[in-house]
Amino acid sequence: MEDSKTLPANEYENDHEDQQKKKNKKKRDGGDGDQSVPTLADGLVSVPNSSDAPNLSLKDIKKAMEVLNLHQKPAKTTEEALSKSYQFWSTQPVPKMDEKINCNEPIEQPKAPEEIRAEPYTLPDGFQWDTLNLNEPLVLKELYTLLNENYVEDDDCMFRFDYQTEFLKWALQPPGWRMEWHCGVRVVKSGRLVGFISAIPAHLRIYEHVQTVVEINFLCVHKKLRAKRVAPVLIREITRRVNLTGIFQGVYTAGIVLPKPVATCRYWHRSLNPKKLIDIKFSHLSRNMTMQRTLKLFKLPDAPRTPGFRKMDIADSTKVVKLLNDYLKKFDLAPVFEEEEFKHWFSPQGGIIDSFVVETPEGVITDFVSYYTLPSTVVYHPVHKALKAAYSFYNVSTETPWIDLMLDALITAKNSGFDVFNALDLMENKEFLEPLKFGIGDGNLQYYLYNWRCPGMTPNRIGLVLQ
Amino acid sequence: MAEALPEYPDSDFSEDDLSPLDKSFNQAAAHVSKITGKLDNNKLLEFYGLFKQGTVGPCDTPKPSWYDGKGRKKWEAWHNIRDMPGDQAKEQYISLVQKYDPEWTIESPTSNFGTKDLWVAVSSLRYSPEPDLVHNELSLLDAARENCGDRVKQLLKKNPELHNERDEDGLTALHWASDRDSTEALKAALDGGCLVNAVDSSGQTALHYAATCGHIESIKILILAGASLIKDEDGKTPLDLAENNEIRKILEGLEVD
Repeated sequence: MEDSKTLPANEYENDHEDQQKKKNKKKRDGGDGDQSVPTLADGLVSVPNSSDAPNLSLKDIKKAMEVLNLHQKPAKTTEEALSKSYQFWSTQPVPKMDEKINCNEPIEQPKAPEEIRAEPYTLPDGFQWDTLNLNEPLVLKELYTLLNENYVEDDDCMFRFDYQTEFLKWALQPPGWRMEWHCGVRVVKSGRLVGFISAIPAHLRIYEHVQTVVEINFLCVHKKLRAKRVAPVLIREITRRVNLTGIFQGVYTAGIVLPKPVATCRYWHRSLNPKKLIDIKFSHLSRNMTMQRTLKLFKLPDAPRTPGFRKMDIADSTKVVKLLNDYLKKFDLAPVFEEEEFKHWFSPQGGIIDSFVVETPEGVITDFVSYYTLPSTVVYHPVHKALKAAYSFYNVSTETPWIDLMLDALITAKNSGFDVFNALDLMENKEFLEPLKFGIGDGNLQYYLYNWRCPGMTPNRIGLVLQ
Repeated sequence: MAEALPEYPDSDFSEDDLSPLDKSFNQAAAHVSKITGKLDNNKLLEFYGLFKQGTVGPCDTPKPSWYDGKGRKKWEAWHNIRDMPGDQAKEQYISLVQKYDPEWTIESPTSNFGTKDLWVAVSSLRYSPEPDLVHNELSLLDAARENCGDRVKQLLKKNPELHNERDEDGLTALHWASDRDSTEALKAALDGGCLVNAVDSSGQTALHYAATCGHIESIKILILAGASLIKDEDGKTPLDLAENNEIRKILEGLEVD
């Protein structure tokens, strides 16, 4: 659920001309992903393939040249993506960008064991695979450092995710995790960790069909290695390792547009510490708004108000997992949790995951709220070094109105020292986002399925949140 | 634990693997060495500081002694920007080369400043920039908010009647300056005759604003100018609204009006 994690468009690194144009550009372009499409006014450009060559007109050649000159950076919008050619993704079992889909089925049939490549994919010279044992504190710390320094940067690098080591263990070692799915790349000579990709198992319902899948996450390549096109090799290798266990479907999210999103969601942000958020330019004070009114606007009550609202206890798990699984049936894309999985994901752990329930005097649990902790590094600020953010995880309302329930969640987050509370516009979140003064964020989060083809969904049909 | 990790050599990455920023930076540094004759000492010091920050990191050497004037200046140029991230230092270095020698261009155009891979991004609140303001057209309240002390002074000198100028919510220049902690403008407005205890339409003084927002400098300036603890329409004084204990302490000595 993090934001945008992402699979790479491998076609990213080439274009020199584009980068030349960008060289002086370092402004924040209004923040709205939809407005920041810089290019590609021509829309779709078709590339004639070689069999058409005899009929090429001068115009076709010119068009083909334009394609070569296209700005080969990741697409942030669907319009932009429609006009890109995806060298890597066109080799993968994912729907084409312009594909119309009326079915709900795998793209490729499961492979027989002998059809699956037995040996790892080949890395560029000087690099080697290494399966990471995250129970080794030093290895965990290496992964932490790789992600911290290379995983994310927003457009002008103001914030970077700062996944904590214990958070990584929580995210990467749920029930059924496998060490070989914590797939690292090291420099042979020095042993330095320079690449990573992970998979964890899950049961995912896609419309009416329940499928065993992996969630792919934390794809990361050291920034000095980006030109080596290691990311596609990482994706192929994790696919191979997952296939060897008899799983052929995956789910992942990304900030950029690749073939082909099953849904496009958006982050919303609720200021808990508005003065700091303005200081670090996470949010902005418009000219005619006073700080004084802003502080008043975001002020919260001192303590949760819903009778029976309390921290979840691990002993509640049997009741709450049923409540959650029943609730998630409302959506077209949602996980199905085993009780052990539920305990892993939702047992409160300071600095990682917070969960609350509303219990009636008769002992019935009617509502559930959870959020995980993911700080960001504030890349350059004289005073503030970190942004403490809570991310809405899974919530269920059956008795307590959404606004009351989430207001209580905001109060607990504020009282625990969070600066901001983030939520995607999926599930029923739109019920409370605007009333509780969330503001819209500046980037989309795309949801993807690997080796599955199904009709697209609107955010309110999505019931899945990844880290 | 970090100390226990091995130090990796940069030779993990050949020149081919350098990031676009590093390639441009190396070119820029090579160019500077050719044009040193054309640059004055201040510019050279600027380049020196950014180069050290970009390549070595924060200054960790002791300050040279007083008789080494040149060494001290170099040390200061480096030490003054010790909090700047290395990549930012490199970017500034490159843009400085472009500024001082507009003829210079990066040869293999692979620079990709800041906008690295957008595979993953931290979402922040969407922001639509407002049109730029023109300094010499700012109204008194705008100038107060934007901390343009000169402009505030100029306007009040030309037209002293403006000291009671208010917006639709009754905020004066003092309220706006206090709200933004615009201390230069705040002093200029007080000097220009704005009344320190003027209240807005909810009965709040500039001191209410500064106390709510936790702007200590503004609070001190207002107190020196004679601000007192007035109750707003909810019966709250600035002390009641103080953002934190430090501010409460400062305000506790004040007289209640």
